[in-house]
Amino acid sequence: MNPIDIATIRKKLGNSADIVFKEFNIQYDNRVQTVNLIYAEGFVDTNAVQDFVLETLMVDLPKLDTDKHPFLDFMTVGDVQELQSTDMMYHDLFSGHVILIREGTEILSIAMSGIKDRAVSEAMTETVSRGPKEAFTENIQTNTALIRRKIKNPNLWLENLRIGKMTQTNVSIMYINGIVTDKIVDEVRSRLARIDIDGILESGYIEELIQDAPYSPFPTVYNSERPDVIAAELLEGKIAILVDGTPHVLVVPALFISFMHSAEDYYQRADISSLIRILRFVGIFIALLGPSLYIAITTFHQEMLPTQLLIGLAAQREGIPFPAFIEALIMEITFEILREAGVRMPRTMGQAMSIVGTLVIGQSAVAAGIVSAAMVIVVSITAISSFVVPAMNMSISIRMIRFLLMGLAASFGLYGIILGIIVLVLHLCSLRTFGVPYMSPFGPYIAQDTKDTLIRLPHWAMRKRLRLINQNNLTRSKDKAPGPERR
Amino acid sequence: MLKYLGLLLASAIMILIEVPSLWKRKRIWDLWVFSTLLFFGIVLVMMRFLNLHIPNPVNGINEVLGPLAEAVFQNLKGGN
Amino acid sequence: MLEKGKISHRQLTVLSLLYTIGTSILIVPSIMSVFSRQDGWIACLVGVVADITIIFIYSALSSRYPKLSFVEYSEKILGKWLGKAVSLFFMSFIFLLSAFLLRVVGNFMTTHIMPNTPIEVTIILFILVVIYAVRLGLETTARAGEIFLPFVIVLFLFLTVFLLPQIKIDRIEPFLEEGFKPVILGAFYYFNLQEQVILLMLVPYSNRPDKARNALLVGTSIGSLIIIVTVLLSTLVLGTEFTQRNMYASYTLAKQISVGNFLQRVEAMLAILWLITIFFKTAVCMYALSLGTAQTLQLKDYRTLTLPFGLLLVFLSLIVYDNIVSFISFTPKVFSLYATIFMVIIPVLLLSIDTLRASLKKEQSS
Repeated sequence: MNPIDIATIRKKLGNSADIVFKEFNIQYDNRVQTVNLIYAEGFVDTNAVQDFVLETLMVDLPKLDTDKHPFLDFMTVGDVQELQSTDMMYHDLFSGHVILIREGTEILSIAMSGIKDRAVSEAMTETVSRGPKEAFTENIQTNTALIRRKIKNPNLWLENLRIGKMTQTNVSIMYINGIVTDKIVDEVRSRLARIDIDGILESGYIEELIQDAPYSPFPTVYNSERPDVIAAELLEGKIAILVDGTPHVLVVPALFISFMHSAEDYYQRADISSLIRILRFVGIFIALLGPSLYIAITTFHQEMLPTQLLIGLAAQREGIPFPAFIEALIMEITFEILREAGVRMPRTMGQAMSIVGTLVIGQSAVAAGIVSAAMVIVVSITAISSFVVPAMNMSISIRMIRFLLMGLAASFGLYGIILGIIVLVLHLCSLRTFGVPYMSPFGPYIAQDTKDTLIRLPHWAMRKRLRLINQNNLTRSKDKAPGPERR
Repeated sequence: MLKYLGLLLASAIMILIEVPSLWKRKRIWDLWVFSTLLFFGIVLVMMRFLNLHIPNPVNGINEVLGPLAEAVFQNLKGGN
Repeated sequence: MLEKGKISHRQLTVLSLLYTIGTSILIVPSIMSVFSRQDGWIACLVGVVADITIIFIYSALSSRYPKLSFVEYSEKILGKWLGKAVSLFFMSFIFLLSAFLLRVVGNFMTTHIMPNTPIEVTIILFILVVIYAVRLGLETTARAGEIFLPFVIVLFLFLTVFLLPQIKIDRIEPFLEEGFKPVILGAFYYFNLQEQVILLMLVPYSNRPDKARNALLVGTSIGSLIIIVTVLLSTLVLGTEFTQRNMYASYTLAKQISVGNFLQRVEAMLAILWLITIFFKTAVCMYALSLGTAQTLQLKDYRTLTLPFGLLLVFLSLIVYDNIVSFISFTPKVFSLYATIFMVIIPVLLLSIDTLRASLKKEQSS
């Protein structure tokens, strides 16, 4: 190995002020060795550097005969590696390692990470009333530890890669060996290897680059910030992709139905969560079809309404200058703007906006005769229903399709809606997620796998894993229904 | 006028969807079949737009099978 | 192979079930009561028996060439040119049938659901959806069928249960008032409106061709049961005369539902049910048409044909009959005879030629 020139390294780093270079000479037996210490400010724990690296170098080493042995043998730190080239050095430098170069020949990379991370805190997006509260953080090591803490098994395997030509982001694939289907793991590996991008700043980048159907409005990659959800998915034989710098962990393959499930479904008793799920599907139905059914019925199929209701609606709509479709569009778009503003706005403004929102939408629009009261009801129920979908990305897809269906309803009534739904189902059925049909276990129908879909059977009844995902290891448990032992 | 424009647009879209990929993969026979069918379609629709008489295949079937069908019906129908 | 997808045994059942319900649920009650009066349901029953019998013939035929479609083995059996001619003749039948299906959709939609929309628009919209399905392939369509099936069944059960209170048993009496003849006539018409022969185009793409007969039998039986119940209900609730006068009798039937003061005007449910099933019937027909033509003409991909066929189908469906009267007289009387050629004569001919040739070969070799 060529002797390493510190000046070259300094130049390569552009003399950046946050990179600390420290050169000192160690004297022993009337010989002097030059040692260079490099680290990035803010990345390393300076106290630890003081205690372990500097003390070893300046106090202990002079007493020992280091001439014949590499420094590696003397370091009183656990994670020390000797690097063979400078290539790896930069990555380590920016991952919180201290780089130690002895005489320009031996390079040691010593893990001394002291970066200040956000502590593990409560999940912000996926809240539950029963179940663990913790959520992932931005640190990938913390995240893997959070998962491992739930699955204490040597078969939980982890593979590390670095993606992003500039950012060199740490990405890990995690799966349970023996449950996972190797073909899917290979597919994930090859898709990740094919990524060619300069930077990965969030798992969303990876999701967009590896998903199956880039032009579909539906997500084919699941994500969660809850360690318990990821652990559950791993136990089902799925693969988690962790990305450094984000608390959102990806899961593939992601079936359509899994976007409709919440973590809490598995913590509540089966009957309760089954009912909640049914309620959720009703909500999804309303969120998807509410406004379009209203538009279709009021514009084309008034005869379907009971007479009294029809008269009431007609009286309300009398003074409205717009057709139902425009009316619905105004309300829906207003609501979407309010929602988006609510997300982006500083938290303290929330109060003000909700007052403006309710007053403008709920009261004044009706009073001013721009929209009918019935439309306000329809739109608000729809809006609330769309938040019933546990997964945010699926909820957005449903909202997008709602607008398409509204357009169809306005032009072709019920006929348009039905054809729209047929197209929607066809599209969903044509999707695959990492080789697995997106709509399974309904299309193709696999009876045994429907135990955890529209409803959830008790844990003791779900004894098999999903057939299309785990082809080799299906049995989850052999237990019978619990209860007092029968003799 | 609008319907001619619609037909033109529809056929243009069909050609755009099918032809480039067929051409690229050198499927000349497929291209021929596609073009012939599309040509027939366009001509027939044009004829309908121009209110020209188009022979209805159903009438042909009626000519050939009508008498037999009537015989079947008369023999089997009830009420006599 | 033109179609790379495989459908499961179950999916074939589902497709043949939806295919059987197809148009029939809407137009059969009226036709049956016209020709067989109050014995329409018996006629249906006889027709179903005929359907099931013919499926045995079909499966005997397809089991001789389990990997080939109807078009492909007709070429094998009859030789290249005669086989191709028969295949194209068969395709013309599917083509005409698809045009009829489209026209029925257009007609029903413009008379009952969307009176102010031009029929051209409804037909074009429908064929676009069908083309989308056909282009996505058989696998996708079959999966969609599996997803829609529960809804179809639930909607049907819902309608049936709420019609039960209005049944008057004496409406189907007397049995066989005019002897067996009208029943046979109705059965003949019913049988030929099912067009199960087209399902033979799907059989080679099921993953278990040996079980295909079962799939067709189960699908057809359940589908036919639904039709028979509908015919029976039409007669029991509406009475023969009223059913005769309503071309879409089961839609009128659904209008009769009234439970308390709130559950009424649910006929839209029947329209939804019917639209879903006829969508699958048309998709299967269009699929068989494109695939069969592509196989006959030895194209590389059947998808190439879908768009121009769509255009031609829209055109044909608009001119296929001038008014509803000619439809009512043509469909059962002449079309059924026309369908017999493809439903019975050609398959039986193919089967007997093939068996004959096989036994001849055996004699020669022995």
